[in-house]
Amino acid sequence: MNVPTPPLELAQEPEELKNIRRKAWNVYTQAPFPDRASTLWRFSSPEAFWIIPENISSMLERGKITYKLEAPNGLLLSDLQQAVSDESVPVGALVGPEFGKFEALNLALWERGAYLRIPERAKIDQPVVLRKHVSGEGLVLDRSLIHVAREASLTIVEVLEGELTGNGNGYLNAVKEVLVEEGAALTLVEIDLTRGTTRAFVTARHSIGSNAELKWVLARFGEGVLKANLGACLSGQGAKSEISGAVFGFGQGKSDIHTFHDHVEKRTFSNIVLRVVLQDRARSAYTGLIRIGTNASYSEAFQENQNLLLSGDVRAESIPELEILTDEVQCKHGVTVGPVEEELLFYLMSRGVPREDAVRLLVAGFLEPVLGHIPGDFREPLDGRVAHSIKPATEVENVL
Amino acid sequence: MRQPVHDILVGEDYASKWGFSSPEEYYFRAPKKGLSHELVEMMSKMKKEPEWMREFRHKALDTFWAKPMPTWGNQEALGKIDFDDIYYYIKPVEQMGQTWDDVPEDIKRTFDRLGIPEAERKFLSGVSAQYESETVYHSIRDEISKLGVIFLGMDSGLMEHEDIVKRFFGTLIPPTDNKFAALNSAVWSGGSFIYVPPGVRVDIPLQAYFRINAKNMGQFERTLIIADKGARVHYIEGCTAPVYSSSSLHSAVVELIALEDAYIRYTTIQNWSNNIYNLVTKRAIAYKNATVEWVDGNIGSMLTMKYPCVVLAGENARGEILSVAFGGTSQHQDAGAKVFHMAPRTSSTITSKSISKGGGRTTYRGWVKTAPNAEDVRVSVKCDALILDPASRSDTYPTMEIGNPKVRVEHEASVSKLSDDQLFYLMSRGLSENESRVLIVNGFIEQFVKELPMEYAVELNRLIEMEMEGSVG
Repeated sequence: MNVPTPPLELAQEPEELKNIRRKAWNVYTQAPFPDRASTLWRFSSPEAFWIIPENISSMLERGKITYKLEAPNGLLLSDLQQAVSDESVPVGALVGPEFGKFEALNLALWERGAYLRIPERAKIDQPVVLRKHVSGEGLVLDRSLIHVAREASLTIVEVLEGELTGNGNGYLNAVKEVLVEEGAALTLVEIDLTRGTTRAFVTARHSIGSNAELKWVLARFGEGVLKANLGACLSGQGAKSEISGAVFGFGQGKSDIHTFHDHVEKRTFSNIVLRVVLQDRARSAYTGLIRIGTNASYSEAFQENQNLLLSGDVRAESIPELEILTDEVQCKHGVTVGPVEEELLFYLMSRGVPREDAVRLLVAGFLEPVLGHIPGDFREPLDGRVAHSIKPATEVENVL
Repeated sequence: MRQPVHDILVGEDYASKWGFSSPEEYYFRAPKKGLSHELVEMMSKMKKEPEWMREFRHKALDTFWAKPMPTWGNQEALGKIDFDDIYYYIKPVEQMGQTWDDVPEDIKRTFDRLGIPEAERKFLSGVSAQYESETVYHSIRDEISKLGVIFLGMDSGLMEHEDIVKRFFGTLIPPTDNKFAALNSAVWSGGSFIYVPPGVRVDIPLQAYFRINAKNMGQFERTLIIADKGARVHYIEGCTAPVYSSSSLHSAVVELIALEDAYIRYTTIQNWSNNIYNLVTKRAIAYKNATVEWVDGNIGSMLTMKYPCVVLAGENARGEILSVAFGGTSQHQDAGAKVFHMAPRTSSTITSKSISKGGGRTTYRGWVKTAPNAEDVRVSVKCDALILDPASRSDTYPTMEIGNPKVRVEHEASVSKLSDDQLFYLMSRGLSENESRVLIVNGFIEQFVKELPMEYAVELNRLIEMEMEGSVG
């Protein structure tokens, strides 16, 4: 078969990485499309993220991403490209060439990326802020690698801004690999403030060592299209992972989020809280898998997905999955889907709050358990978007 | 000779008490194993079926060949099915019995071993016992037939009430639904046919026992229950099967049709032997104000794949699915529930309890879907799983697709082991560890058991006790 040659050859890269890139390119160009019957692709079409190999160079030219780090003294954001040529950086260790067809595209061709390494026992009190800005109308490849060494602790706030325009062919393909070593603690706050109908394909994998802790907060409010595959592997005893997500979809917004908590070792803990608010013609699909392996006794895993449906044409799907391979475990999950409680609205309105404001209040209250984890400065634009975008008075409700 | 229920002692060897088999004596056997159009043609001729059914079978067989195997579920076990190594139709020597006395001795023995007391038989409104592939005994209490209720074997149902059968047969589960539904459509025989006329309420449960009793024999029964407007019926099907060394395939199709204001409850307890594939398609449709309830107990079998479904097609329709699964050593219970809300103001409840033990595996696989026009819908799903030892496994795969903002869905699942506190509490009061475990497990499935008629509840509790034997450790 005639395989198009990868449009990227970087001379300064180590030979090993070059091999990985070649392998990944083969996967992207040759591997069959993912099976739509699997839960991961049940609600999104893989074709939507496929760009024929011949067009990739030109698509890459038409998309742009910039990185900016606001960090306390001494901490440097390296260019991932720079980093791989200088030292040994485990690019592809968690999301390798075989991970998936579209992740392979990222691995084969990423050029710019963020690399953050927190040295052993470093305790950083102030949040490190990483701002990413996308623009253009093509394909944007974003790769980040965060390595929190033993017993280090810090908070990273990542803000994604900008807009990808065009006829919808282009998208942001982001892959994140995070290593949290023994005893380290990482709080990762990701805020997506992209505008318009920006499409994003996001894959993240965390590896959490023994007694290490990950707190991961995600907020995405908008009309864009998101396909996310977020996972954490609890690979050391006593590892802990908590994911809180808030999604507010409006317009034609679509979010398809998959989470995976893989309990490999004993006494591991995981919790997921995902709160989704939908209005207009927005869609949300949540699929989440918790696996507790044969070796992971005394583990606990929780998962909660709540959906608040505000108006007419929305759709919400939820598939929370459990695979439990041993007995000494505690595992629970819950899903709710429903409209705003009329009784609560009535309560507020009887106290003189206009209906629209009452709905806003209830939505804010619904999202608070997640947004409460976000440091104040970063909350404002999110709160603003909620207040701005809610259109509680639809025709149906006006009848009341 | 006959063994009353209370004489079955817990702790005796399961195989000698329940895993028996009567000598195989058949005057007809399908000439060879495997499937072919000739076989289907012959079956249809033997049964003197109408032309449309003959065509239906042939078409279904082509569909079966064309359809791929499911790509999900327990691939390893599914892959081992050898469709060419199965007898698809066997007719027992005995002809249809008129009264209990006419039923041949060795079939009676089979029922005796199941432990149905004489007195209870008289109470049972109708015992339709499927022995091998054909209904051999069928009795209906006079009152019920006087009401106009039709309760027949599916084969006789087709002969005597072709018009009704033709109207509903295969409408809910067409052969194209899935590979196993196609297989059943091609080679079905036996099963029950019930029609309850408008406004008639059948107060006593209608019962049928199914048994598989020949080596390598597939059993493909087909059940069709129609409750006409305002009618009410409760159907019970119980299965126990003798232990065999080579694998058998059981693939039934059950269609329930509840017309306006009707009520159907379908209760099954299945206890197939541990080498049987139980791949069943069960679906019900509930029209306006109708209610359908599936009560489903799965014990035994090697692999069960069964997802009773309710389509709520009319306003105010209600569906309820209550199930228990017990996955022991080398068993996989892949059971679940499906509910489709196609109309406003419909409601459904799914309760699933599963227990896995001795390396067994239980899976809950569910699907709840609401159509965009289905407003004011309420759905509640609850799955609880108990894992009794480190080698066992439990999976939960629920799917919820909600297409209308005025829908309330609640889903909850939990997986845990037997609570040490509870064990300690019981043991401190003088119960042995095993007794305590049995008590806790029986308490865990209490919600299910209390929905069963008395004799089934007793039988189920006893089966659980047997399955729990030696689970200490």
